Amino acid sequence: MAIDEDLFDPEFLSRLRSMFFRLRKRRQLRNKGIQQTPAAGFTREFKDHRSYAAGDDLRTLDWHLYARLGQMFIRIFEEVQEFHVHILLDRSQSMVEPYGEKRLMALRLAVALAYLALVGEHRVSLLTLAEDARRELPPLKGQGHIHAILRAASALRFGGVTDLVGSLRQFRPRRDRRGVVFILSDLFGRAPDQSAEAIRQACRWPAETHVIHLLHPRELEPDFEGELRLIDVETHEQRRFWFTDRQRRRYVQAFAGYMDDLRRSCMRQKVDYYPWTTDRPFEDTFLDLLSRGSALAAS
Amino acid sequence: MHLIHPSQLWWASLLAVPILLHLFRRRPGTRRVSQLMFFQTLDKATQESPWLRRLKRLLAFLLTALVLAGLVGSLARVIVSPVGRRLKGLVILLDRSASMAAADGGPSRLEEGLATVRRRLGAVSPAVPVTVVAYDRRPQILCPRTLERREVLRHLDGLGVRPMEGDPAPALVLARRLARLDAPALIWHVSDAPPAAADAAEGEPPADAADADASPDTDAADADAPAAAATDTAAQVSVETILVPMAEPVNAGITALAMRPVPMQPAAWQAFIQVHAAGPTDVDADLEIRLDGRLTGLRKLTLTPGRAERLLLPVEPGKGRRLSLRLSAEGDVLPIDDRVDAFVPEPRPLRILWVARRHGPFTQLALGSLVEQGAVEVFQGDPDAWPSDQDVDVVIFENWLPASWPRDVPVLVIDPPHSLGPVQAVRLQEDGLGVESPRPAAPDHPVLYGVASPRISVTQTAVLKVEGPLEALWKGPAGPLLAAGEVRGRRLVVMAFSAEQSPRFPLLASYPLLIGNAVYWAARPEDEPDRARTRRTGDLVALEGRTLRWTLPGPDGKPRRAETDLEGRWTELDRVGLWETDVGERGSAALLARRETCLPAAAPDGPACGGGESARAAWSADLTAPLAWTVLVVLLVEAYLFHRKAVY
Repeated sequence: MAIDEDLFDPEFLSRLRSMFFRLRKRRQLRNKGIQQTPAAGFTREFKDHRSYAAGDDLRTLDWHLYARLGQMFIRIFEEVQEFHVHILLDRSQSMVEPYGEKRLMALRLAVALAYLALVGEHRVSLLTLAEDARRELPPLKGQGHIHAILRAASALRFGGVTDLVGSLRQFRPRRDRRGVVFILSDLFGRAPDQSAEAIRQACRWPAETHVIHLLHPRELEPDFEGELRLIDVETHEQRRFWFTDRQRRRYVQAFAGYMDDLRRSCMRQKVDYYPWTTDRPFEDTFLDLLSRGSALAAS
Repeated sequence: MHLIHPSQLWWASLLAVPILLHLFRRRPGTRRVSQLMFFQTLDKATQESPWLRRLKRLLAFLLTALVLAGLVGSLARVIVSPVGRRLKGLVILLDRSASMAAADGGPSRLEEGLATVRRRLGAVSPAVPVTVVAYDRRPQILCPRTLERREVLRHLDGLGVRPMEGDPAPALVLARRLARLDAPALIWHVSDAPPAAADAAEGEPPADAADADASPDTDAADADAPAAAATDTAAQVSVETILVPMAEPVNAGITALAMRPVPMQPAAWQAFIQVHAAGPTDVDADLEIRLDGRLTGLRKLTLTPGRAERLLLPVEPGKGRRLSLRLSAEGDVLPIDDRVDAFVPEPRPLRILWVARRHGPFTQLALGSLVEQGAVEVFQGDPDAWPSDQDVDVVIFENWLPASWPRDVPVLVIDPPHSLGPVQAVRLQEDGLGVESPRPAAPDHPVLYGVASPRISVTQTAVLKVEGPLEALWKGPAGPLLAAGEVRGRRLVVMAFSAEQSPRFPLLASYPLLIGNAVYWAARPEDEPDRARTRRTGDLVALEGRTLRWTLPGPDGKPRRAETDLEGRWTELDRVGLWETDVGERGSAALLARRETCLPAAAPDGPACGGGESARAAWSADLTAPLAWTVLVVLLVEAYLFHRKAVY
């Protein structure tokens, strides 16, 4: 399947690459090098020599030094930890209608996260959420899979009703591998309180969870007024309203309260909550997201 | 159910506005949203399900339509009345004659009647048109057919008693004609006296072309009951008499006054006075007679109710003299008929022109006796001077007739030589025919007053051919020899005999008496009594002046003056007092009506006025006020629903 040029044009990919370098440079300036664990591993990245001791693996003996110095030294390699990045993308109808910018933003964000993870030699899983959780790709590793990610994102079809509680219940990351979970969603379900209930399941995951709340500015403050017939894009439920400025103020107040509740709920679950409105520049917002201490950004 | 103002129904076209708005209302904008759940958390008053919305829209439409329908109904004034008993017209016939002013300290009869009418009018359907007719001597439509009750009440408030005799017969005829325009209709006849049976039933003239299909009236009025009803079954016109008499009225009044010369005494006058009274018993009354304000006589009278008391009073004539009569009785409830003022006639000699080729001595002697009494002036003339420009009251042609008959003056012809005009005479032989004791054909004729025909002997010179307006007074063997009559409004006396040739007549007293009677009868048969007559109020008089000045008796006895402008030649005398125009015409007016003076008393066992089937037939319900209240309530409900429950 071809890559959707409208979604991921070459410019976006080049910007993604430059964004990665900017991120790495910022990280080097801050940490003076790649974050490494003190434990020695079996990767091919050479770290140091030390004297042989009984019990050491003879495969690590440096025979060249033994020939030259007559002493037995073993080579110590650097151990780099591997993450499993889970990208959970909301593919419900509310991500497409009435503001398609949320879909675009979600896909680009997913691709950017996947790219970042692949470059960092992490495994990437792409799952979509609607009525249930669906795995779109098997776990991928290596930069070469970025195209598979792009193709999968391009082929993704949005629709259906959001059932965050049910779909997140189906998502079970493996416990033997440390992971990072990104939930990209507008969190609009059947009721506002379902969002917090769904996020409460994140505490059971052996992973660092980031909830990226994708919103359109008009969802924060509607721009219409007067007598309206409102149709829910997912449930197709209809209601008639006489929407006035007073009602608009009450809506804004209620939505802000809803987001505050979400934020507090995420803090209680030690989940990172990041509201993302589509009117903000993607790169700045993305860098801002990664600068919030994500393990992915630090690796 | 019917409408008073059906033309207001065009406002119902405004119903098209809410209907169109309901059918073609602007559809609400449709917005697809992803966060409907947050809108649902807002004020529930601003959101509703589609079926509830439709229900509310329908409710709002129905309320609006109900408001408009209520307004239209209020404007058109919806009236609900019982089926089959609906009245379509009401004529209020009010007696405003003098007797309706009778009062014994309380309200007058008219005020009593008006109060009853106002009270009963409130129960009459507003959809029933009302006509107000008042009558005295003549009926008058005060308020033409109208639905405006305020206008009716305004006319009722402005109604007052006129000092005239009431004549209900023509008023009832008029009221019936008006009532037939809206049959079935009702006539309320407000009066203090029940109309006579003749007034109620026979006063109807023959049906005109418009009423040709209607059957003859079958009115039947119960004149004895205070509240009586008569029904015109053919035209469905009912007459209900609302009687407002006093219980035991006491009244005494002057019902006639006439001044006339004493027969054969032209310089002497006398006043004929008639007095009537009403009351449960005999009424003692005092009659004051004043001449130019000076008391000249006082009579004490005991009047029996219903019976006339007549008096003859000598009156000394004089220029500008006034006769005042004042009748007073204890407990009198009607002062209008207590006083009569009149001008005493001014004496004026009779002017006679005597035209003859040879003025006979016996005629001259007879006329001379009249001149000596100061009653006449005689001018002698020759036939050559005829026609004369002398202003005379009567012309005597003796043994001569002019070429053409004078048309503007009374004539006395003595011994006509030939026929001319109304005088048709056949001459007898030259010596004539002696007639002893001519046979009187009309002995009561004024010309023969005091003339003793059996004792006289005349020589008839011609035979009169009496026909047409002439009447033979004396007849001889050859035919009529004395005739009198009226030709074209002028009186004529013809004597077909010669006084000089008569052996036993000219020297008798009968001849000057006959000449005097003939002259007076021909010259001024009713002129002087007419000039001296006191007119009854309501009479129409022809006046030449432009202004009429009244001298009216004031309440304190002092005369009160009033002045009115005359708009035409004929003027109705509508006040009691003396009147005079700016050109010198003058006279007096007084009530002089026995019908008004003899006040009726209420029947002791009569039903109270008011009520009756006719009034119940006029009942109906005016839905104007309920509809207006409904509109107000609906508006309040709609406002409450709109503002409180957001029904829009």
